Amino acid sequence: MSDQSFLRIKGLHKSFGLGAVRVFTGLDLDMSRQDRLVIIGPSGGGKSTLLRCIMGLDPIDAGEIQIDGKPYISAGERRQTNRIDRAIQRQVGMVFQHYTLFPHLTVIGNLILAPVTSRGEAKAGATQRATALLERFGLADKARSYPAQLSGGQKQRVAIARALMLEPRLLMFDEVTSALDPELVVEVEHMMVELAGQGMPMMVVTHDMWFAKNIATRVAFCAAGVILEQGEPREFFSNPKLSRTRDFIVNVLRAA
Amino acid sequence: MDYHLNFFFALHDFDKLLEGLVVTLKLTVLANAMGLSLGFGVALLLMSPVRILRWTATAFVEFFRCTPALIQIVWFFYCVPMLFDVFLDAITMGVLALGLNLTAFNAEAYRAAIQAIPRAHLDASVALGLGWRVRTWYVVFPQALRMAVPVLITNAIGCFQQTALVALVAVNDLMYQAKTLSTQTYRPIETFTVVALIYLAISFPVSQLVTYFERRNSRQLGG
Repeated sequence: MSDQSFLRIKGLHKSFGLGAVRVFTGLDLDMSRQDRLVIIGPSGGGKSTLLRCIMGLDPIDAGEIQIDGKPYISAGERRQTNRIDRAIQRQVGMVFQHYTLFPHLTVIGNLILAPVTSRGEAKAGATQRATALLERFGLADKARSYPAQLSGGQKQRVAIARALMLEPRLLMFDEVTSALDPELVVEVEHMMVELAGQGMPMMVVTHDMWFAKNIATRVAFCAAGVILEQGEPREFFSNPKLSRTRDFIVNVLRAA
Repeated sequence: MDYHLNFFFALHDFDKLLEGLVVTLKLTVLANAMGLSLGFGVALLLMSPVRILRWTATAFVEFFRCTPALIQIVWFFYCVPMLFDVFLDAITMGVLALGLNLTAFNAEAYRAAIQAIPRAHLDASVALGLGWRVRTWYVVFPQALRMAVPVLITNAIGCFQQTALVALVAVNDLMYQAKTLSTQTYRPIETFTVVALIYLAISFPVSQLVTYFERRNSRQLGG
C-alpha cells in the first residue's frame, strides 16, 4: 500500500479561532491512484475543511500532506503560514457546493480562463478542448450562455468541466449535489460516474450515500477530528466496526 | 398675488443659458474623468496592506465625505491660491474641487464593490491555479466594475448637480448664468424654474440608467 500511495496525509492538526474549535487532531489518510474515496461523516466533522486544507485554501496547524511521496503542504514555523508546493497544487482540482462559476464570463470563458491566462495555452486550442469537453457532457448548446442562464445542475456540470480543463491528477468534490434540486442531482451524478469509469482519482465529500455506493472504491468516516474508520464500501456499510460508525450509517439510511 | 408669469424672456436669453450649460457639462465630464480614474486608485489604497497608505487614503476620503461640498469649493478657490501660491483659471479650479470630491465618493463605491466579490470566487481561483494577478484582472475587477457602475452613475449625477455650487465663486456655469439673468430681468421664478427643468432633463434619463444597470447586475451577477 505504501509504495503506491498517491496522496498521504500525516498527523494533520487544524483548528479555527486560535484553537477554540479543534477540527483535526492528528488525522491520517492514505489514497492510491486507483482510489475514489468518498468521505462521509456528521456535519461539522471537518469533511469540507479537509478538502479545503488539501486544496491549500485553509492553512493547517501541524502535520504534512504529501503527493507521490513529495511534501506538498506542511505547517510552517508560524501559525497560519504553510509551505505549499505550487506546482503540485496546480495538479489538484476542486469543485464546490455552490458552483462558483464566474458570472461575468460565458461557459466557454469560464472553461478557458485558467488554461489561457495561467498556463499560456493558445486561446484557439483551449476553446477547442473546451468545446469537445462540453460536447462530451451534453452541454455543447450552452457554450455561449452565461452562468445565470443555466440550471443548477448545468452550472455544476460546467464547474466540473472547468476543473477538468486543467487535467488534474486529483479531483475533489465538496458537497457538489447538496445545493441542487432533487431532480437535478442525477445529471451531476451521471457525469461523476463517467469520470469514475475513466479512472480519475476522486475525493468526494458528501451527505449523499449514493456516491458511497456507486462510485467509491473506499469510504472513510470522518468524525471527532480524525478518520475514524474506512474500508471498501460493501464491507464498510454491511459490517462497520465501530458503534459510532454503525449509528451514523443507520441514521443516514433511515433518513434517506 | 399680482405676479404674472412670463417665460418669454427665458427663450429670448436661452443662448446665455446654453452657454452656461456647456460650462456645466464640461465641469461634470472633466470632474468625472478625474473621479472615475483617481477614485479607483484611492480605492486600491483604501485596501492596501501598507498601513500608512491605507490611513492616508481613508483620511482623504473622510475629509471629502464629512465636509460640505460648498465649503470644499470655497476653500479651494480662496485658500489654495493664498496658501500655496497657485493660481489656476476658474474652470480648472472648479474641476479640481469637484473632481476630488467625486474621487472620494467613487473610491468608496469601488472599494465596496471589490470587497463584495464573494470569497468563494477567490477560493475557486486558487483551485483553478490562478495567480493573484490573473485573479485580480480577470475575476475581481470585471465583476467589481460591473457592480460599481450604478453607484458611479449616481455619483456622476450628484456631481452634475454639485457643479451649481461653483457659481458662487464666479465660474460662469448654468447656475451662474441663471443668477445673472434673474437679476437682469427681475424674474427669478421663471429663470430658476427653467434652469431646474434643464438640470432635470439631463439628470433624469441618466438616473434611468442606474435602474437599468441595477437590474442587469442582479440578473447577471446574482446567479
